[in-house]
Parts: sequence; C-alpha cells; structure tokens
Amino acid sequence: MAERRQQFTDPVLERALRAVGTEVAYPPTPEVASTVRRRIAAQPIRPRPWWLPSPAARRRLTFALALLLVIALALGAFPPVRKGIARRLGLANVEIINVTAVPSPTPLPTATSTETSAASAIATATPATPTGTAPTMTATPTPDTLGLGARTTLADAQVRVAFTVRAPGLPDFSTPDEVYIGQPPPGGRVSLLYRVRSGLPGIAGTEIGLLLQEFRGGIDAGYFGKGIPPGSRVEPVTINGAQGYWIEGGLRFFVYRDANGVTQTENTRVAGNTLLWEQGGVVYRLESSLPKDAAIRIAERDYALDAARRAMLCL
Amino acid sequence: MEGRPLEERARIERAQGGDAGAYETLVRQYQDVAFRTAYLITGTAAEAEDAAQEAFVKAWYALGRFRPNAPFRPWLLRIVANEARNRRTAAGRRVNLALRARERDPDGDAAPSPEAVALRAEQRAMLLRAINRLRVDDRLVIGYRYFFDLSEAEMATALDCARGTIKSRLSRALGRLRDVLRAEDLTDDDLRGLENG
Repeated sequence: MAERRQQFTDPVLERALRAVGTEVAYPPTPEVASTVRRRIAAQPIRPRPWWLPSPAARRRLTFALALLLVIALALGAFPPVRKGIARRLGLANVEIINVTAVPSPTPLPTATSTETSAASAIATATPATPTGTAPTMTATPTPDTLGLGARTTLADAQVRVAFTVRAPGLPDFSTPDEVYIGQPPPGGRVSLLYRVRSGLPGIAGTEIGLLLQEFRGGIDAGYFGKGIPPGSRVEPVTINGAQGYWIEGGLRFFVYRDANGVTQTENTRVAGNTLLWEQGGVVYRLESSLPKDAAIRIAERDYALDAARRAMLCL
Repeated sequence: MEGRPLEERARIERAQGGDAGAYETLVRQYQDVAFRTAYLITGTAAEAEDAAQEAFVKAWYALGRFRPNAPFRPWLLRIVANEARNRRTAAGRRVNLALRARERDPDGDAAPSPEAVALRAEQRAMLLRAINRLRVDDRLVIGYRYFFDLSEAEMATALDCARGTIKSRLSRALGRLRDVLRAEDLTDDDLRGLENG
C-alpha cells in the first residue's frame, strides 16, 4: 500500500505543483521599470535608416529569395528542364555544371600513335591557377601526353569525321602546328594545337599556346558539360551570333553524356582559360592563356572558311 | 482580452521604433515574471533584481531582432535566464534557493480546521523544499511549466531548445523531483491534499 501511495504519478505531481505554484512567497518584485527607463534613455536606439527594410521585411525578402533558389535548384535537377534552358540559350549540347569537388588528376598513359589506344586514354589536367601561373604538377603536359589522339593532318581529320573541321580565320591561326584526331565522343574529336610563340604565351607553363577542340555532342541525348570548380568565373558571350561561355580560371574537367546517355568525366587538357560555344551542331572548346577579348577575336574570325579545303590548297 | 495581444504588439512595434515609454509599459507588465524567473535561478532577491534589470536593458537593444508577432514573454525570459545564470556562475557560489509558501489568509478559505491548515502548510513546505533541492535546469523547467504556465512552444523559446525536447526535459525534471520527494517521505496523499487546499 505504501508503495502505491508513493508513486507520485505525473498527474498527481503536476496538480500539486500547479497548486503550490500559486502560493510561492517570492520576494517582492522590485521596481525595475523606472531604472530601466533611465538607463535606456541614456543610450537610445538609433532609428532605422529609411533605406533599411524592417526586420519583418528583411525576413520576407530572405524567405522569397530562398524559395526562388529552391525552385531554381529543383527545376535544374530535372534533365529535361535543364536541357530546355540550355536550348533556349543556344547550347543544346552543352551543359555547364558547378561542382564542389574535382577529381584528382590521374596518371597519364604514354601517348601512342594509334587512334584507338589514344582515344581510350584519360588525359591528365595540369592544375592551374586562375591566372595561369606555373603548374603544380611535376609532369608538365606536352602535346604527346595530353591524350589528344593520333597525330594527323587537317585534310585527314576532315575525311575521318562527320562534321566540317574549321580552323580560325586569323592568318596567325589558320594553320595549326599540330592536328590530332581521337575519341571520345563517338563521331570523333579533332584537336588543333598551336605552340607557344610571340604573342601566344603557354598555357599553365606548358609549350602549348592554344588548343582548339571540335566535336559533336552526340546525336540526340548526348551532350557535353563542363565541370567548373568554385572560384571560376563564367560569363555568357556571343560568338558568331551563337551563345557561348567564357570560363576563366580553374577549369578542371569535362562532364558529359555519351550517345548512350551515360555520364562520363574526362579531365581537361591544359586547364587554361576556356571559350566554349556551339555552332552548327558542333561544340568548340578553345583553351589558352589569352584574355577574353583575344580569345573571342580568334573564335569569331573564320568559321565561314573551310579549313580542310584551305589546307588541301596549301598542299 | 481579445485585443490584448494586438495592443501589446503595437507597443512592441513602437518600442522597436525607439519609443522608450512604450517599452517601459512592457517592462512593468513583465517585471514580475522576469524577477521571479531570475530568483528561481539565482536564489537571492538582490541578484535576481540585478539580473532582471540587466535583461530588460539588453532586451531593449535587442528589440530589432525580435519579430513583433512572436510571443514576447518567452523571448524576454530567455534573456533573463541567461543573465541570471551568468550572475550565478560569476558569483562562484551555490546559493540555495529558499522558496517558501505564502502565509494563508484564514478568512479566504472555507474555515478549515486549524489542524488541516497546519498539515497543508507542512505539505507545501516539503514540496517546495524538494524543488529547492533540484538543479537549476530542472527548477526552471518546472517553474516555467507549472508556476508561470508557459506553453510548450513558449518553453522551447525560453529555454532555447527544440520544441520536441520539452516533454522529455519536463519528464526528467519530474523524475528527479519524484526521487527527492521519496527521500522526504512524502506520499501521494500529501500531494493530493495540496490540490484541494
């Protein structure tokens, strides 16, 4: 019986506490209001400036912005929406992706002269600072170690790919120093390489002054993307009337989907400043250490010229 | 009563705009609960007065961060409790709380027998002694809920914790109170006697 009586169940305790709570003999409450009034009068609150929204308005604004961000992120999560936006921007086959981490560089295979083995090689990027200073890797990439594919000529490359290979129209760039053809993607990728020369500094300490790559992004579903680490600057630009992007600094790798819709990652070649645009179903990627205006000048002049035909004429 | 929250909100908004007079009315309205909360923590009237006063001054300068449509009391009590805890810690000594029950006015009751009055007084004193022996956190959670009648949402604000944890905090505090009561040889009937007193 004693045990039962001493259970102190919650309801019993609660009722007793409420009852005793009304009967506590607190010390008399001192008059603090007038003291507080005196103290705050000595240092009044500064009125809110006219341009600063009220706390409530600031909270509403923050909420609205957060909501917009969530909607934008949610929409961006759906590939069809993303693709639709990219198409409106004139970049049906290109996707720019921001990433928080970049893959660590993989060791380079020794360059080979056969297209097949070169095509399967994953090139190692040289981690470069945004300003294109000296590379931090011990092995500086050279054309032979970039995994560009098989060395060839413009004329040969043109025969072997299904799209028209184009070289810049500026006289200094109309004839690349080296031409490579490789994969991926299916359908081929042509790389035009220009070595360092006066007015064309090397990219990230390499002997490569400019690298222009051209490829199709796939038939329907395939598209390319760019992995852009935080800190890089992306600026929309217009190239020959088409939408393009200027990406300055820190570009490390590609993210793209092949013709089967499989997402693939491939390290970039030399990690310079990049101009990326699409024209006539072909994606062009121009990497150099040149400033934006110079890169755009190179990109804009030409592409009406058929490089392969001109190369044949030179022969 | 319906218009009271709106009226209070208006005073808070005026205070946020720098109206010290409006703020003084809020201080008057809440100084009792502020002082008593501080007293539950500090255990001395002098420290509780200092803590309450300091808390009201700090709250004045923090008013810009207060949402006018939120309940003012728990927001204020959080500041009060922090201030009181700081003082208790700074004092470096453990002052034992000495909550006592008020002397009852015999005329106010339906003429209970002198023995019954004496018995209830003893039961009240024992329960309050048990509360005095609790840790500050337990005392505060019990005080907020049963003495000052804060809702769970208000308690969450005042204690600066998630609302979902209030029930368990309260339950643990009651558990420890139960242990003290058993040690004091109090019985369920003693507590029931308090309800009716």
